[in-house]
Amino acid sequence: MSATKPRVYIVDDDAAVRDSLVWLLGAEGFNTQPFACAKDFLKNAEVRSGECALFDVRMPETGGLELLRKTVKRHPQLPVIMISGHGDIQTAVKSIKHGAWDFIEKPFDDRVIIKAVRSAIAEFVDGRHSTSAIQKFKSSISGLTRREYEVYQLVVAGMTSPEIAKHLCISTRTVSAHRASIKAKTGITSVAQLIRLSVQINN
Amino acid sequence: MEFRQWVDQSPTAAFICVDSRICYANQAAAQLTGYTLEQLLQLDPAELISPNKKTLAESIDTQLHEGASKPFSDEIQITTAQGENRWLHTTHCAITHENSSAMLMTAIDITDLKQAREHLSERRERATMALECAAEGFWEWDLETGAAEFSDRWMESLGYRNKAVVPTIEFWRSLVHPDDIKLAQLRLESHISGESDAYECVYRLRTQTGEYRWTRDHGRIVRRNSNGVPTGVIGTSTDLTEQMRTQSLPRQTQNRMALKSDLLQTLFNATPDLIFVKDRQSRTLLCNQAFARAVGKKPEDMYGRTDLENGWDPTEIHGDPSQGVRGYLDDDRDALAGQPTFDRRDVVHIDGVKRIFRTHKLPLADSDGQIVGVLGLSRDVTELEKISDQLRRSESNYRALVQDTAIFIARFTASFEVEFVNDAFCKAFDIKPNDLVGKTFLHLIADDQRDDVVASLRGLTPESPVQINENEVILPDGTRRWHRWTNRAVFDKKQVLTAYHAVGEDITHRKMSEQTLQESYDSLEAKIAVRTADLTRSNESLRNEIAVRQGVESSLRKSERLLKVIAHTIEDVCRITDISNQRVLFVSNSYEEIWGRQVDDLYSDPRAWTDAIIKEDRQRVIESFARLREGKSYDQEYRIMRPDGSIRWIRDRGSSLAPSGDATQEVVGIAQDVTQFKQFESELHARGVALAHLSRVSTVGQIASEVAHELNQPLTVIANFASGIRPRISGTEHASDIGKAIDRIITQCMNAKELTRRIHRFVRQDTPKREPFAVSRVIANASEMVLSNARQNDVQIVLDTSNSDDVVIGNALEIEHVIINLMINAIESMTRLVDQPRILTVHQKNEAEHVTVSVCDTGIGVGENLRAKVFDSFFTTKDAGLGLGLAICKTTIEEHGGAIWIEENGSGSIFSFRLYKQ
Repeated sequence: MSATKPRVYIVDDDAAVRDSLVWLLGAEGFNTQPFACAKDFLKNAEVRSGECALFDVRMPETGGLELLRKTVKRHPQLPVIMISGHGDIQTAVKSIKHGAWDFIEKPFDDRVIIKAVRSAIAEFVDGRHSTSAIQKFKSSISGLTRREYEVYQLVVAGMTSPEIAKHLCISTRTVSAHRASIKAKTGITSVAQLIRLSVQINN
Repeated sequence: MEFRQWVDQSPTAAFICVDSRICYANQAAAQLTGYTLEQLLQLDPAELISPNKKTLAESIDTQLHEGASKPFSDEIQITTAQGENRWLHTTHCAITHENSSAMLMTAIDITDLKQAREHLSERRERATMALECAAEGFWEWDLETGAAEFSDRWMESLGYRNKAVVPTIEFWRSLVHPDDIKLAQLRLESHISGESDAYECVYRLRTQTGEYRWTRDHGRIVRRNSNGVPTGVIGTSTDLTEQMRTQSLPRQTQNRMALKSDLLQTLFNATPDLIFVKDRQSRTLLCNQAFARAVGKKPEDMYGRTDLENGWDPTEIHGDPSQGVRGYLDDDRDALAGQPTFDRRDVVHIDGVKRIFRTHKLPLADSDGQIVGVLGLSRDVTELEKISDQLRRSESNYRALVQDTAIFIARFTASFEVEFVNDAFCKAFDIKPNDLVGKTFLHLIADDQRDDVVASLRGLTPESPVQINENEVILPDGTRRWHRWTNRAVFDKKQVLTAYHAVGEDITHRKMSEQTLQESYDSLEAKIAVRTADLTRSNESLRNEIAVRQGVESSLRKSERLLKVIAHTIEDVCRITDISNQRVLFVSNSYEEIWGRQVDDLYSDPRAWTDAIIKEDRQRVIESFARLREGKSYDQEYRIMRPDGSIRWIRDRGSSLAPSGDATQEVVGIAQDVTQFKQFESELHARGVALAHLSRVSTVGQIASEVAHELNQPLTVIANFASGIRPRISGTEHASDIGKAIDRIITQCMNAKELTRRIHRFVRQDTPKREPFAVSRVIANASEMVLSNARQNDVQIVLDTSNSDDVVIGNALEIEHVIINLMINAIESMTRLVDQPRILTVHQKNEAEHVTVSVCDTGIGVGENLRAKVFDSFFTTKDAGLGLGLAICKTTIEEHGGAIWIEENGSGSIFSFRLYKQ
């Protein structure tokens, strides 16, 4: 991995965003390959292991989610990170369920995206977390209280804190407290990761 | 000489009786009674009288023998030699003949008149009475209060018109001659107690000047209270004074005249028939009193003059030879040539009143057999014609009600063989009555419902003879329609089922509205707090209404008069109005149910109909009613207010039966309670409004959301470029200062992102529910929403959908929105087409993992250079478009994890989207 720079595919219809990602990831030591549309990527990308892809959700013709489905089928070894201008939790849940590694909202803190790319390349094995990571997550889930487990299940179902509060008839602040506790016990900080792991331990 | 000839040839039967034996009878008398002349001369006149009328015969005898001084007319019933019962109008006159008492009687067969009158009164008692009131004096008594009403004519004939009198029965009694009051009282009581079918009496009434006038009353009970006790009598009065006077005349002169001549002269003048004799030059030689009275002249004034000189209408005299129309003179000529003419119908206006006569003309021969003139006999048939006309009209009215109504009417036997179906029924099934009459109708009912219908018909009993069915029927082309039938079983006296009367209507429209409404509630539930309470209430009112209607049905008294039953069974209000006199001739009972007012009140005040209409609608309806006079029909919807303050919607249609300009204009109207339908309509409208509101709200949300997204793009670019600078400058001179600046840039970008996020969250507060739904149903809903738009633009919508395995996960309302959007775009793309088919097709393709929907038009297409841009925000080709419709569609579909794209199809475009099942 250290010998060759790991390759990152970028698929976004917006040239400025594409260029900025090339600029950002290039500075962090990645080999970037940008594509303007899904068709172009599916046709020309020569995917190998140890690589990663960034897909914009919203694109004309074939959208990001369509591209994700096709990519997961064609290149199961390639981790995909979805990036979206719509911080829509439903789309995030759907993406993860369809096999995306992570889901990041635009615009992003450089540290967040670089961390996500790095972890995708390091940890993604055949579209799954490493077995040890899943085992670790499983045991941490069993350490949740009953209420925390309820909240966890609603979070991975795609609900926001106010929605969970309404659903469980508790205050939003109590929900936030439960979520903080879940974060502490599992060590998982992003909702996307949480969802992905929850999908995997259920499989 | 002429008299003898006339008497022998007269169509009026004439008898002379001496000592209870008939000593003279003419040929007409023989014909009338069915006996030969020889047999008649052997007969006791009392034997002629029908057995059940013996009392009447006795009273005639008594009057003749005891009273002896007063001639009178009466109506009696006789039995002919063949055993037939016939009604006669007789005029009796007592005379002295060779020192013995003799009775002179002329008789006219009025059986037909009687029958017609009975027939009519059976059907329309009120109308008959009202009709008679037009011809004669008319009165109405309220037996409960003693109040009475007398027509102007009645008051006038006695000189009380415009005099201050209180119209009561007591007032009438005070006018009756003291000698007659007992008889009148007796006759009246015998009718009220039920002994006689009608109240009839000949008596004298005192006029205002103190004279007495002979009057014949004819009346009948028209109202009874709930216990069956008579409360109202309506009757007519005929002034007989003139008739009596001419009958008295011969008695004054009998000493001076020879017996035969005297008798015949009496007969000549006493007969109500009109008799005249003309010479070869058509000059009037002789005429009787009845003739003179009928034309309003004195006999002497007419002698020696031609018809023209006597003031007859020249066109009637000469006819119109060019049109082959005969005049009086043509008849005269034929009679003079030895050719009798019969049954000529003469219309004569006397003092502005139309009278109709039937005239026979016979050649008049002298003793040598030479034809010297014309003998004419006329009878006033105005009343008879009026009644028969009335009867014909009433039948045609009912026929119009039965045949012209949109309501189906049928009658079938206990074994379900059809006996009668009306036009509406035949039209609905596209068959001829003969295709069905004598056969069963069961094959018209949908297979799965036939047994239920048969079972419910079989279940009818004399106690519960009415039942309402809603079932589907199958038309010849295979389509199914919903019908609602009210079936009434008819039982005979032995409680044996004889037939069914069925009244039905097509309620497919209503059923569909109900269904659509139901579906709309389902789909609206997702977004809007549904007014469940409304639906419950509307269902309840529907149930209540059916219950009330069933109540009305069963309360309808069983009647053998089919047409009346039908008119009353129909839920709609049928009415017949005479608009020239502003009278209501008939209104069906459902008026009471729908209007909440009494039928009798409408009869007495026809304006009650328009008074019930609410103010906003009234003037418009009155104007449309007024146009009936020009022969125009009307079709109006309006609201009425019932006495309890509730509002009903009425659809009222009507048309005139007579051609415009006719003196009497009868109008048949059918008024339908469409309140329920209107409610459905407004519910549908409300649904449309709710959806439109939803569309607006979500459009505003989408705009904000779009703006937020568009802002995020440059923010991302700024943050990424800034971030990318940091590693590149590490270790250089200003790395620390620039790094701080870059941090500030990134922080500001993140703040801006937080702002757009909040906007996005705000407009997307309610995350739409994702549930399984059937795509085909959503397409059906969407196409219904754009249907009116399509119709306005003459676009034909073709749905190619399939409901097998087409369930996807998502928000049905949002997808409906997408389809509506695509369909409206498609319609708009075709509005500029000229002389080309405008067809909008929605295809649906169900595959293993997903469902694809394509909206195709035959419009102008998008053009290759624009195709890539159509889904972009703020891109539009419309003048007033915002360029968000397709962008929103794309967002919606992508949020569902699906895809949307555009293709070209010859000239038009195809917009397709795909939704996944999981």
